[in-house]
Amino acid sequence: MTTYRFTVNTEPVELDVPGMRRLLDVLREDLALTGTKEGCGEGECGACTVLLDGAPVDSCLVPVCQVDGATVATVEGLAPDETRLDRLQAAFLEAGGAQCGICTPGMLMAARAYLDGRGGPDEDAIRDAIAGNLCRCTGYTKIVDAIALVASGGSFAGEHGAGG
Amino acid sequence: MFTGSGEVKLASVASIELKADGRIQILTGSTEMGQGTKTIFPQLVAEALAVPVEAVELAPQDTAFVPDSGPTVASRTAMVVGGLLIKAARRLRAGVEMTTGGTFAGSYREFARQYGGLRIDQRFEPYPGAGFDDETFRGDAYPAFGWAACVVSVDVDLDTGEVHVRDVVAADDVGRVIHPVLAEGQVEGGTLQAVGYATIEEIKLRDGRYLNDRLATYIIPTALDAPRITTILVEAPFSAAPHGAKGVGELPMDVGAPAVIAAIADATGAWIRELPASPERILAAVTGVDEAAPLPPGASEPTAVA
Repeated sequence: MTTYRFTVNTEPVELDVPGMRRLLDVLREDLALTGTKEGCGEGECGACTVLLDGAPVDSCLVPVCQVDGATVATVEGLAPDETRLDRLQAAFLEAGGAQCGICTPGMLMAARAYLDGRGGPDEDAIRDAIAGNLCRCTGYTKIVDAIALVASGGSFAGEHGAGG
Repeated sequence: MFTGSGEVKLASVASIELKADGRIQILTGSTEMGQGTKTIFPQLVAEALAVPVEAVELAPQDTAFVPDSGPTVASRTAMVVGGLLIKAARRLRAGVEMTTGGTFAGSYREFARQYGGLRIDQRFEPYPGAGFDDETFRGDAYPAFGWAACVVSVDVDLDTGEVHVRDVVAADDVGRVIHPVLAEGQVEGGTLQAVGYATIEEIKLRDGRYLNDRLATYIIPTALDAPRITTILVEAPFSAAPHGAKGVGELPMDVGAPAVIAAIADATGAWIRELPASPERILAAVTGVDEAAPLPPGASEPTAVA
């Protein structure tokens, strides 16, 4: 076992775990951050997407030894506090971008990375940005609409509302 | 809903309980799996009771507490179980109003305090005028039908046989729309599954085993494969249901694939008779040459068959 130190959503973390332990398991089981979901466990579906130093990665494919010294952002870190949602989360609610919810945390993180990289409301660019995240429920149309809503900077109902 | 006498045999029950502490709770076995049951059930009940939607809560779908509302399948939740809830809510409202002499909204808290609450269990009853005979298999297989249409535009690459579905317009008659955003979500999701089923999704078997038993090999549409889907919700209410709703879950899945195949025929003149319309099948249909059988593992050229 080796000691790994990294940051998760602004919190410093220090863990003694096997270096090849999946970041997904470290988040869900060691840190009890179960917002990140496991879909396929082989890097195909994107449900477990988190941001590693700002870049979207499949946390099922990242051994924790590669995270030493890095910053990991998970869906738990999106909302500014317990009563408010991130604008992107509010837009997903408004547009109907979530159904069963298994893809949603990963979809939100991929979209957050796209928006942080100054991605705009262009539909093709948005679809490109979430192409690594599979959704079986929505048909993607409302997910694309939700991301475009935030990217266009427009106002919408619920954007400042309390989280549910 | 279930075919023929299926719903009569299920005899589903949905319940509403006005609790002693004044809470209004919906009790059903219908499971929320993303389709919006948790949203539309309180909507339907709140409307029937004329109270704010926030005043109605949904009990956890734990069989220790909830009645048997039948399975969450067959596009029956909004139509059948939703209808039972409206009937239960009407009975609850009438019971409270008859006792208190006031409106339900204005008097149910006082009623609950005084009488310790009231629970209504509503069991399914056959829709008037619709019946099915299990002996002769005659009658109404369904008391109402949803109707759907789908228009698809495709690009077909005549060199590779690849098909790209560009745009889809789906029009679905769901009886009555309870929540437009959620209903559109059902139509869009079902439509994309139909497009996947028409173009890329194929369960392959060899000796009874799945060859593509994972997402690396069983390919489903990504956001880049998916067309933009425009939904038109049509309302032709089912008169025997108190809210007029018909099913929505499966309906959009039925029409997408035939529309894709018809669009491919319009583009190429060739009708694909087996799904999915893979590049191999499209090229075989367009050129009139039989689809080449795949090579066995490790072989570099077809082996001669004796």
